[in-house]
Amino acid sequence: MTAIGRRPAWLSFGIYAVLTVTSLVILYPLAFMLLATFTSTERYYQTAFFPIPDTFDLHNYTAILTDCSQGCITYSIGLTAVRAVWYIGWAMLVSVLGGYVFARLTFPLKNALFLFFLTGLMVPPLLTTLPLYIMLARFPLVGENDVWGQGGHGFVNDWPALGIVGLVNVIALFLVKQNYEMIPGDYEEAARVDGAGTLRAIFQIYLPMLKPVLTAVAILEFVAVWNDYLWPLIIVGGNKDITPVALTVQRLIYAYTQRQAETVADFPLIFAAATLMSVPTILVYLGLQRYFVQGLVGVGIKG
Amino acid sequence: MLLYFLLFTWMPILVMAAISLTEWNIVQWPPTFVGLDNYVSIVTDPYYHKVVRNTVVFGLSVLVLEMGTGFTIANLLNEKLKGRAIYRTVWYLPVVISGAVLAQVLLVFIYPARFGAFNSLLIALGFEPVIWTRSDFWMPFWVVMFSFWRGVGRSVIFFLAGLQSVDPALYEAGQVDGADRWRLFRHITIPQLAPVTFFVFVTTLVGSLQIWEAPLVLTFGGPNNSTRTMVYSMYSDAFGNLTMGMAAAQSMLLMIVLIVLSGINLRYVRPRG
Repeated sequence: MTAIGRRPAWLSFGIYAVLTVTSLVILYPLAFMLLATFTSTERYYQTAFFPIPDTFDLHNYTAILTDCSQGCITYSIGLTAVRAVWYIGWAMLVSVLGGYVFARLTFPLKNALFLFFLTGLMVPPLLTTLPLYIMLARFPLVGENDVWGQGGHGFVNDWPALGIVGLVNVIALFLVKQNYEMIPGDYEEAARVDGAGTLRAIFQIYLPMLKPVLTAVAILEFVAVWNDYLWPLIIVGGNKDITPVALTVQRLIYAYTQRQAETVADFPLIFAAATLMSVPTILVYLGLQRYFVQGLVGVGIKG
Repeated sequence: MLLYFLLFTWMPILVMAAISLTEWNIVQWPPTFVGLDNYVSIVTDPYYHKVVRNTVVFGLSVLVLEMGTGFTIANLLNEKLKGRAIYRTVWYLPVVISGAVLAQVLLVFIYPARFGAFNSLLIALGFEPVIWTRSDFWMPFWVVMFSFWRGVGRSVIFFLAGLQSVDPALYEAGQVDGADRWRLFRHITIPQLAPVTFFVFVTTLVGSLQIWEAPLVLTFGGPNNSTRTMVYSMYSDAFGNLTMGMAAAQSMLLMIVLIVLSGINLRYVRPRG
């Protein structure tokens, strides 16, 4: 990209050397994890720095996938997939319609209102888990609660708790609005002349042009939902029937680690669970990373 | 949409502020009002001093590591290289993986004493193996290293995005004036990166003050509370000890710091135009 003149050979060599060595360090735990899943337990305990695979089959993975001790993991995967679709759908709907409203329409207090939404970025989600938990637990008239939110369990350990918090994604709204503003208004005017209404202009004219940023939004949302751990732990931790995948895998790993009281821990099995958990987000990221980097650059950090 | 936003983004803060003034085990009703007692406890109790100190030390350590590494690696990645995309991908990979799950896997490298990879290295070099999990010096070290490993890709990507938006004409003009690589770096790259650096500084600090994954699933705050961070302490106070007031008070304090930080930042990440 920049290439500030020609590099002397020693510098090129240095850059490649540093990058290669540091990349290997970053990759080491992941490579270790992957290789270990194809190593027998006995063999694993003989190796120090790198497990040398000797069983090239998927028995560790099938063992994980059929383990229902912490709630069936295949069910958790399905549940998380549905949850991801639900959250991605909302993020897109809100940001496509909201982005249009804030980028194209004019109404009183528009900028003030948008700035108010942006303040949502300042509130760290991790720290509002506690009051949100209490709000959902004391929600009036659900889960045997009375009008004052007393007496029952509210939404706690119930499936709606996994789908009502965090549906408005402010970052997505911000990114999509930025992208609307980069599209010239001529397209919409031309469509209007041809008799298209607002919704039609949004979905037929703008939507195709918003594809890169919406893909970025979808990736961010998928990774967030797939890895979501603390909120499910708090809000549905007591109900094994509806645990999302991150929680189930974490519990499996914990259970496998504790087993070492009776025998040695089956680390290849533990690694298989962690790999299974990591593969989907890695694949999604690898497949769509072109849009992802574009989307991040679109944040437009201006001094 | 505005209503939803108010209900699930700003109302929790009010709820939390209210709870922080009470002593409440979540079951009894109504909660007992105790005024500012919870805040006083945080200021006076040595246990919470340790929690706050851990949070700050971890936060700053991760901040320095991530910014230094992110800046260096991004500059190297910005050169014309073969396989640049591969290096970039590798650096970003840990960011997309579940921290809560991987924090547990970290255990394998430090435990059990004879088998962990790091002890193997020590033994190979002729040192005594260390029982990492019992050491209140080494466990915080590993928690910091894990958070660093997991988050550094973010700062690499942001620095790289910043580098790539530097106008190439600046470098050309510099070269015409006869500047060497070092001078171009010193007088063009560094000043041009100032806004991104500020952005990365704030967002990294906001993240690193909220370290919770390794304490929650790996160390449980131990040994000897040496890895108890504020977010983990909030969790254990609320759902372990059922002292909602203390948990809320800690969250409020941390949240005020983070909101101030992000508020400053937001001025710089304004929508263009």
